[in-house]
Amino acid sequence: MNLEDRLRDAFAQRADAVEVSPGALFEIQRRIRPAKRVPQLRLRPALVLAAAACAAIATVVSVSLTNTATDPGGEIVIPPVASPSTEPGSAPPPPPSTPTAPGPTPPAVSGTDPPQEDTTGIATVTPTPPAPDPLQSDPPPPPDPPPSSGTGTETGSVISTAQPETSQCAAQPAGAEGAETPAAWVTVYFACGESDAAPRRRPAAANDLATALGVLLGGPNEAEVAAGFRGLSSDAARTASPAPEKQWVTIDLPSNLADSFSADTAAITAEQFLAQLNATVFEFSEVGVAEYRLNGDCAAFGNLLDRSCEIHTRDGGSHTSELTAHTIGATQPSIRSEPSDGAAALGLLADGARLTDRRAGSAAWAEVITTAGVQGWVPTDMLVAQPLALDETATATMESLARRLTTGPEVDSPALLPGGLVLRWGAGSDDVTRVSTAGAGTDSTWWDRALDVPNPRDDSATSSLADLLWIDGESDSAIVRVNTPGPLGEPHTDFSSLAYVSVYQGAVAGSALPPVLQAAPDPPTTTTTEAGTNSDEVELPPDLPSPDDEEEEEDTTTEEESPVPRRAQLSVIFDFLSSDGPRIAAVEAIWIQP
Amino acid sequence: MFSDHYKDLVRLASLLLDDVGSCEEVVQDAFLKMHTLKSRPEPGKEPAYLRSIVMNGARSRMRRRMVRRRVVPEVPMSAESAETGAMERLDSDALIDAVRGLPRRQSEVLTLRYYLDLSEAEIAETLGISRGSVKTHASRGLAALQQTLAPHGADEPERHA
Repeated sequence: MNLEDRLRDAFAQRADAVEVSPGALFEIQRRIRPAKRVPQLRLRPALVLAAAACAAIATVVSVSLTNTATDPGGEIVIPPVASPSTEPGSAPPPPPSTPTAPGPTPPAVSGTDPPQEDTTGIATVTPTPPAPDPLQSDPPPPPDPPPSSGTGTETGSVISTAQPETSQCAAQPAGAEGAETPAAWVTVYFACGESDAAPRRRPAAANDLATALGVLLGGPNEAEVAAGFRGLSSDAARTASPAPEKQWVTIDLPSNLADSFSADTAAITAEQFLAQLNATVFEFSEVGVAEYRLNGDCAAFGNLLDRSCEIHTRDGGSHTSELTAHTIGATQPSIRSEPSDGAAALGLLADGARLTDRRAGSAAWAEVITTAGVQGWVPTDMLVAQPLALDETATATMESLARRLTTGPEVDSPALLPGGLVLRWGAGSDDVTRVSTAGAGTDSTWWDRALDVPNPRDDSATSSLADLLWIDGESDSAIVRVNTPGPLGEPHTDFSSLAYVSVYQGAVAGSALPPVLQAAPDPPTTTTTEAGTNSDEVELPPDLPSPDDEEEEEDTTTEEESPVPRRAQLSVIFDFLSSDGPRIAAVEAIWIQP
Repeated sequence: MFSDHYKDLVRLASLLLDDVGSCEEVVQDAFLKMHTLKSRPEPGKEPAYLRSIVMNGARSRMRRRMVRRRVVPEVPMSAESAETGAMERLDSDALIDAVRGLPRRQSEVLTLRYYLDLSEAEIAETLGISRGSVKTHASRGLAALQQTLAPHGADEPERHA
């Protein structure tokens, strides 16, 4: 029996042994249903309209009351309660864990009517002047001070349930005794009664996110505590560092926050704090997505809640991981309103865009949210760093992958944070340039760790990660030797230019995208490495034949022009060091084109 | 469409991947993807379209798997992996393993050619390559297989055009 017949038999034997699950059709149908149904997107226009109508009504009422009640002499008049939902352009979400049922009556702190939930589920405020807040003697807040940083930008997300308001824990002004008229007011949320996040308004120097977070982390004041509000203890000094990036804000919280929930006497749980944090952050209309970190580590914050790193969105959702769009070449895939090529295009997915994966089980499409707040679907095969299945992501210890750093062959070492990124390249083992950001005296052996993979460089039985890649020269003139097998073990070979290297790290100060290299019109047909270790003449296509192949082929070597761009993709493992040991992230990161 | 092709596609994927669960997922993804397309393939082209998606999906799975194996090298390789135990297996299993060990394109071409008996044109369409490339990969794949199997006395040297 010749080889071809043996192949047929072997394939047939193997295939015949495969049994498929009887529920496959049902499984496909089950997956089709959620893929076709995009309830959030379809509901959104109605909710936006409803929210806008409520906001407009509240604004008109507020203005009307202000105009009629304000003393001509300038006396400050107590305005109607400015529920966050009444502010134009502001649509704060409900805290995820906020109960909607009113709880036991806490001490009376509010003189206003509670918001009434209408049939749309959106809270409105009864425009009756409130009685003075017994908790404060400050001048009352001005009518509806708009968020200082809020520009009324509509994020496309609105609340879908009632405000986290209780009948007693209302957003009444409270503050220091005898203070002068404050420059601004901020709304923060504390627990009160059975509500995890009841609004409080505080006088502040400015109504911005940093100030609001400072107030939140400071916890309720004595009067508020006496009135039943619960939050973080005000004993510990804490500051938060919000870093907005368009509609995506990353908030770094101090590590001593963890102590606040561990004590038996803790006033609130970590879950309650998250609810307060979300409610406070999404008071600001420009925030669409929030990522919380503890001392720079998203996973550490997640650990507080016995969760993983999560991304929180205005609609009350939380998502498991953050991803980075890494599009192929210059092609920018469209973000679609539905997981379909024919669905409306909402925008383009820019290379390097941060996004979060909201995939609902399909490997073909990923539902994403970008930093610009665009929420839609992109085909996963348009992403080099595909959103991995959650189980794969977890087992690959890829937590805390956050920002994207892109370098060219000339790595700007200072741009890398001292988290321990180690890059290595050069011409031959003696000339390898190692760029380590882990600091002097800190190094990793991971790069040199032996792998049970045949070494294509010297045909030895083992190789190391250092064998993966050599880059000789600089910039576009660099010659890249890819010493890693392809997905099925096929060898790659030399390429004349490095497109870019992308590295994921938990905290990188900035990122910069290199220019996309244009395909060389006349790619060189041979390259030679300088190291002398691989000086064979080679061709450039990714799946190059070996010279032996060329010789033995007679009538089959007439390769026609392939329509597929000749590129090679290299999976590189980058090494991250952390205080608790090496943290490894693997990203299919390098595109090489001839 | 499902009843006609699902099992065959899973079997096709099983020749490229080493666990049936992944194969089924890949094929289900393919059906799902085709279902969500608004511009459906031309009538009669659906099987070829599904085959292409399955091949791409299997390739993607394998790529991820390779990355994972490098990331977590301490995780032992599957007993079904191509690198281990080939000698102890039946001849056909060893042959399948050898095919999997070939460069990706060669493996795919051989699978499509000798399992599905597709023509060069059909293989070219499925993989998005030229017919000349199909011939090249097939020839090289067979040659590499012979070379791989020869030390074990599994086959006599042969030439195949």
